[in-house]
Amino acid sequence: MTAEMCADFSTLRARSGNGNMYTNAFIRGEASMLRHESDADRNFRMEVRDWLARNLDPSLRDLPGRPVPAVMLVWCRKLHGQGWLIPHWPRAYGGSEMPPVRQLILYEEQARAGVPDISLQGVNHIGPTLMRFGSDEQKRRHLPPIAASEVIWCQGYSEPGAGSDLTALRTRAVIDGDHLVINGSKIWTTWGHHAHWMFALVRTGAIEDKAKGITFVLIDLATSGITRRPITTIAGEDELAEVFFDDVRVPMENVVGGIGEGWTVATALLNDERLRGSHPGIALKALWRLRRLAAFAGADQDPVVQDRLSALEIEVEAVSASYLDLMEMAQDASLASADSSFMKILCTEVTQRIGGAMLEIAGGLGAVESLEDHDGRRVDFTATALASRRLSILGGTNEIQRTLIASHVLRLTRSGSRA
Amino acid sequence: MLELSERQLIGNSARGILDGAGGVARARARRNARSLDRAVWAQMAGLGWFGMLVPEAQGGAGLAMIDTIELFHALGESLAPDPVAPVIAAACALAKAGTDEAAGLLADVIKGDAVALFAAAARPVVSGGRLNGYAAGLRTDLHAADRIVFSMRTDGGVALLCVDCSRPGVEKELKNTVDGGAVGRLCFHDVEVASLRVLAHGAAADAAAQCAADVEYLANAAMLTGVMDCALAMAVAYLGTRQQFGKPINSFQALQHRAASCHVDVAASRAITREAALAWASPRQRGAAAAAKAYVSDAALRVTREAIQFHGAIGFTDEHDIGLFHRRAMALAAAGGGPAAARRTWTEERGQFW
Repeated sequence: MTAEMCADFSTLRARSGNGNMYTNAFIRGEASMLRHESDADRNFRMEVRDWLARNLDPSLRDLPGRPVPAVMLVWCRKLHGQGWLIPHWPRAYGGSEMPPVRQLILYEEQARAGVPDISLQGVNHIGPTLMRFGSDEQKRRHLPPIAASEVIWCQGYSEPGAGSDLTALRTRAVIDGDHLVINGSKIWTTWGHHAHWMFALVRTGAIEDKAKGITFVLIDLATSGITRRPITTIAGEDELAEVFFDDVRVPMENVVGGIGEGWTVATALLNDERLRGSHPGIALKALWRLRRLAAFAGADQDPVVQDRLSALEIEVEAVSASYLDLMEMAQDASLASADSSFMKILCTEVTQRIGGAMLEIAGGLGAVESLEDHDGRRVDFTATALASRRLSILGGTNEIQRTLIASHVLRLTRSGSRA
Repeated sequence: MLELSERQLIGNSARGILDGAGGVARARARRNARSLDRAVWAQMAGLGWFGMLVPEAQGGAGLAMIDTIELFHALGESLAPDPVAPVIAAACALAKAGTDEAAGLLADVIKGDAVALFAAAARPVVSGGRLNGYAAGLRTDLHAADRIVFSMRTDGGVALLCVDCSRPGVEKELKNTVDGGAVGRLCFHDVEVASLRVLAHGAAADAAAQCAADVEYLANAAMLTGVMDCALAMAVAYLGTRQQFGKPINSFQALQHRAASCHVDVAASRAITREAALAWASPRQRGAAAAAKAYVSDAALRVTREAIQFHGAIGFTDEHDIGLFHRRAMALAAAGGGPAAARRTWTEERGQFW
C-alpha cells in the first residue's frame, strides 16, 4: 500500500470510528421484504436473528468464499438442527415445508448476519431431483445423508467442448453387464475436488442423437479411475474443478430415469437450479456488504451515494418480490419453465450491479482486497465484485436464459432452442 | 381479498369497457382535449370503479388493494386518458378522513358527479385571512378536476381543505404533458380562507393526504406495468411480421435478447407491484408503494424506449401508436415527483419501519 493510500485509509478509519457505524442511517434499516409481516413471521425473524447472533462463529462471518468443506458441513448441520437447511423439502424427507415468506425471512436474516456460502448441489439440485425421478432405493440411500449434510455433491454437466451447447457432451458411458463404464471429462465443476458424489450427464447413445442419447447417473467419486484437478477462479478461490474419468465403473442402479432419459431429468434439474440458485439471499448478501462498505467509507451521508444505494435496495426488493411471486405460483403448480430464466437474469444482474457500485463507492480504495472495521468485521471491497462475475455464467449463461425467454415466453422463434 | 380468478375478472371487465370506449385510439383522439370524457366517466362510475377501495359501510366496494391491481393494469394498457387513478385515490383518502364533511364529497365522487383530486400542499401567501399564490402543488390531470383537495396549516392546526375550481378568484394554470394530458397548479387571487370547505383537521387531515399519495404511487406502478406490458406485446408482434434480409427480424438474436431483457423488466415490475399491494394497510404501505413506483418507472421507460427501437423508423413517427406508450410512461413516471422523489420516500420510510 502506498503512503498516500495509507493516509487515506487511516482517515477513513477515524471517520467511521466515530460512533457505532452499524447504527448509522444505512445499517439501521433492517433488510426486509416489502409485504406486511404478520406477528408470527416477525417472531420467526427475531428467533432466526437471535439464533444466528449466538451460533454464527465470527470466523465464519462475511467470508469472501466458502469455508473449507469440514467446517461448512458442521455449519450446515447446525442449520439443519433448526430446520433451516432444507426449509423447502417435504416433511417426509426431513424438510420443514416452510411457506415462501418464511424462506425469504431466512435468506434476509442470514444475509444480514453474514453467514458463509454453502454448497447447494445436494439440497437444492440432486435432492429435489431424486424426489421426483429417483427410484425408491436411490431416495432411501441418498436423501437422508444430503439432509444430514454428511455428503457433498457436485454437478457434472459442462465439458470442454459442451458448455452452453450442453447436448454436444461426449463423456462416454458404455453398458458392460450391470455396470456403466465411463470415459471422458467434466469441467467447471463447482467443488468437484471436495465432493463425495457427482450427478452427471453421460453419453450412452450416438453424438448425433444429441439430447436423446444422454443418461443421468450418480457417481461415487471414490471409485477408481477418477482424477480431479482444482481450478483457481479470478476471485482467487479454488472453487471449480476438472474431473477426469478413466474406465470408471458405475453400477446400473445409479442411473436416474433410465438409459437415454437423462435430458428430461437434467432440464427439470436446471429449472430448479435456476430458481433455487437465483435466490434473493445472493443479492441480499451483496447488498449488506455494500451497506457496510458505504458506512465504512463514511459515504453514507453523501446524497449521491444515498440515492444509488436506495435504487439498489429497491432492485433487491424486486428480486425478493419476484422470488415470492414465483414460489407462491409454484405452489399453485402454474410455474412455467421460463420463469426460472427470468429469475436467474434478474437476481444475478442485480447482484453484479451491486458489485459495480462497491467499486464506485470505495473510491481510491476500490482496488484493496478487503479491510477490517472496528467491530472486526470484514469490509469487502473487491471479492463480491469479482465473485459476482460467475453468476451470469453458471447454471446456463444469461445469454442462454435470454434465448429461452425469447423462444418460450415471447415465442420469437420457432426453432433454435435446445430445451 | 378476492380469489385470483375474480381479480382477473375485474381486469377483463375493465379491458372490455376501455376497448369498447375506443382503446388506444381514444387516447390518441383526446390528446390535449383538456376535458373529461363524460360518457366514459359515467360508465366507469356506474360500475363502481371510483369507490373500489372505499369500505362498504362508506358506500364503496370494499376491495383490497391487491384486488384493484388488474384494473390499473388495464388502464395502463389502453393508455386511458381519464383521471381514474387519482379519483380512486381521492375516494380512498376521503373515506380515510372519515368526517361527515368528507363523506358528502365522497358520495359525489363515487357517483361520478364530482371529479375531486388531491394535490400536495404548497406554500400559500396568507394575509388578512386571504389566500394568494399557490396553495396546492403541481397536480397531474388538473384540467379534468372540478375540486381540488389539499392540506394547509391554519390557525387551528393542519386542515384538509376543498376548493371548487370554478369559483371566482381560483384559476387553473395548465401545461400540456407529453401524453396529451395536462399538469398544473391552482392560483388563488384574494380568496378568503374562511370561505373554503374544511373536510378534516389534524391527524385525520394528514392521514387522508398521505393515503391519497400512497394510492397514487401504487396505482401509477400498476398502470406503468400495463403500459410496458402492452408496449412489449406490440413490439413482439411487430418483430414477427417485419421482414428484412429475407426473414422476419424476430429471428435475429440481438433483438431476441433485448426483448427478453424487456420481459425481465415487465415480470419484475409485476412482482414488486404485487408485493407493494400486499403491504397495503400495514406500516410498510408507504415505503413499499414508493419502492414499486420508483422501480417500475425506470423499467417502463426502458421497455417503452426499446419498443420504439424494435419498430425502427415507423416507431419514431407520430402516426404509430408505440410512441404514445413511451409518452404515457414519461408522464406516469413524472407524476408525484418522478423516480428520484419516490426513492427519497423509500429511504425515509425504510429507516422507520424496516
